[in-house]
This record gives sequence, C-alpha cells and structure tokens, in this order.
Amino acid sequence: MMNAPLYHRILLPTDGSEASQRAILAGVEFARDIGADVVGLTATPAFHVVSTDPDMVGDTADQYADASRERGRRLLDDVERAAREAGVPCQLEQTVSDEPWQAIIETARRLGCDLIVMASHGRRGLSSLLLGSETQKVLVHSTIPVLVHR
Amino acid sequence: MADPLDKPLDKPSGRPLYKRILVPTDGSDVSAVAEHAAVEFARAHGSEIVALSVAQPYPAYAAAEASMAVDPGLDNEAVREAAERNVRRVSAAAAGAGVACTPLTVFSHSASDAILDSARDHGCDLIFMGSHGRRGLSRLLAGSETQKVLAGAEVPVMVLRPKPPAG
Repeated sequence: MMNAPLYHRILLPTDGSEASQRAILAGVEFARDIGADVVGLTATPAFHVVSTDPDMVGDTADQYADASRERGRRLLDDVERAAREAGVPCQLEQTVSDEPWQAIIETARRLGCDLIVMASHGRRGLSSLLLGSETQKVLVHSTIPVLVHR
Repeated sequence: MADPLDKPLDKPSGRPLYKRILVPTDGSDVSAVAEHAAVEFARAHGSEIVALSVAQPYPAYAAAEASMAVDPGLDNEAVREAAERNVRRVSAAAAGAGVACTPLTVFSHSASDAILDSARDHGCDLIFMGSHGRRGLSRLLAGSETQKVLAGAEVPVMVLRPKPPAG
C-alpha cells in the first residue's frame, strides 16, 4: 500500500560509466514505481587551450564545443531511452563545467529536483571500492537526499 | 563489456522497490535526520524498517588502564542500555507512523562492519544514513563510517545531510 510519494523529480547525473548507467536504470525504475519524473544531466568540461584530454588537443574552442555537445548528447541518450522504455517523463540537461559536482547541485536546485540518484564512483574512479570524488563532494554539499548506487 | 542499459527493466511488481530499510542510529542529531527521513520514506512507499543500534564495547586497553576503578562489565551494560534507548526511539517513531520496525542492537567495535553485516543478515535492500555521524565533526570527511558503508554496501545507500543552521 503506497501513500503519496516523497519524491517528484529525480536528478540522474551521468558520466557514461557502467556504474552510472546502472544508477540510471535504478533511478528510472524507482521513478516509474513512485510516479516521479527524471532529469538526465551530464557535465562536460570547459575548453582549455593546454590540456591532456585527447578530446581537447588539436581542436579549436568551437570544434571542441561541438564535439563535447555531441558526446554529452550520447550520454543523455541513455537516460532518455531508459525513461522512454519505462514510460517515465524525462528532461535532459547539458552543462559545461569543470566541477561536475557543482553542476549537479546547481541543476537539482534550479529544476526543483527532490532526490539525486547517482553512482558511488564514476569514470575517473580507480576502483569500485572507493567513493568517487565527485560523489563525495555532492554528498558533502547537497541538502537534497542522495541515493548512492554501487 | 555488457551495457547495463541493454537489459530491460523488470515489469512493475506492484510491490515497493525498497521493501526493507536498514536505519542505523547512534543517538546523534545527524542520525535523527536519517531516522525521520527513513520512517517517512517507509510510510510513503510501503517499506518496513530494521532499526540498528551499534553498541561499541569499551576497548580492552581502556578497561585495563582503569581496572582498579572500573568494572568493564558494568560499562558495557551502560553502553548496551544507551544503544537500546536509541533503537527504541526509532521503533516508537515507526509505530507512530504505522510502519513495521524490527529493533536490533549489536555489539561491535566497528559501526560500519555492523551496518554492512546487519544489512546482509536481515535482507535489507536500502540503507539510510546521515552524512556524518557522532565522530564526523569535519564536513569534508562526509562521515568516515558513512564512507565505509558507501564503499562496502551491496545495496543502495540513501545519504541525508542535515540542513545547515539558519543564519
């Protein structure tokens, strides 16, 4: 027996890692069960002239912006597909930020999300046994509950 | 590498996704926030609660140092009573909200180990925690026990941070 659900809009940040894809699925399934909608979010890093990121080297700022929009779009396709298959209303957000944790908190606040569902570690995490640094910063700074998936 | 997104979701079962929630309590304000949120969650989503209090026995060396003055058995009795008081508070809140609650007190030197073991032993599919416990004075650490639970948990962990005091 279910009373009025506690959460209405769930933020699903993704960096394309397998861990965040699992978190997306879990978040979409929870949203479906409680009748919430979801917001898919990806933060792509800002362009830097000097960079070790192969996606930035050799590009102009414009080329880089196009390429990273494209990359972000592909990551968000995952969220859109999962939401569509589950019949969950979904909106997608792309931000440019070198601090994904800030983008996550800012987007949650701006769009009125009342829950963040994310993976305990992301692409940069060395090991699934460690808590990723972005996740850790979100946990420290978010006043919205964070549901962390391994 | 198999893409997790290629696996379709199970059909809605009509049962709650999270059926049994483990709520560790240490009597701190931070864990009170998690307790309150867990009871609310359980009531809204039809889950039940396992309330856990970890009684941390006095370390042997401390007892040896003070062996003339302190009976460690008495101390552990006090520790157990405090732990049971914490867990009773959660049971009462759950009962008030019409949520089924199993109270649990375990003796362990490690709160995080006790939390992970209890989650497994009692088939909990979600853990609720505050972002820093009794010892976590530094916000930057996000609670060392919470971190250990996040790193070791086989089930999702809901992390709640108490709202900062106004002003």
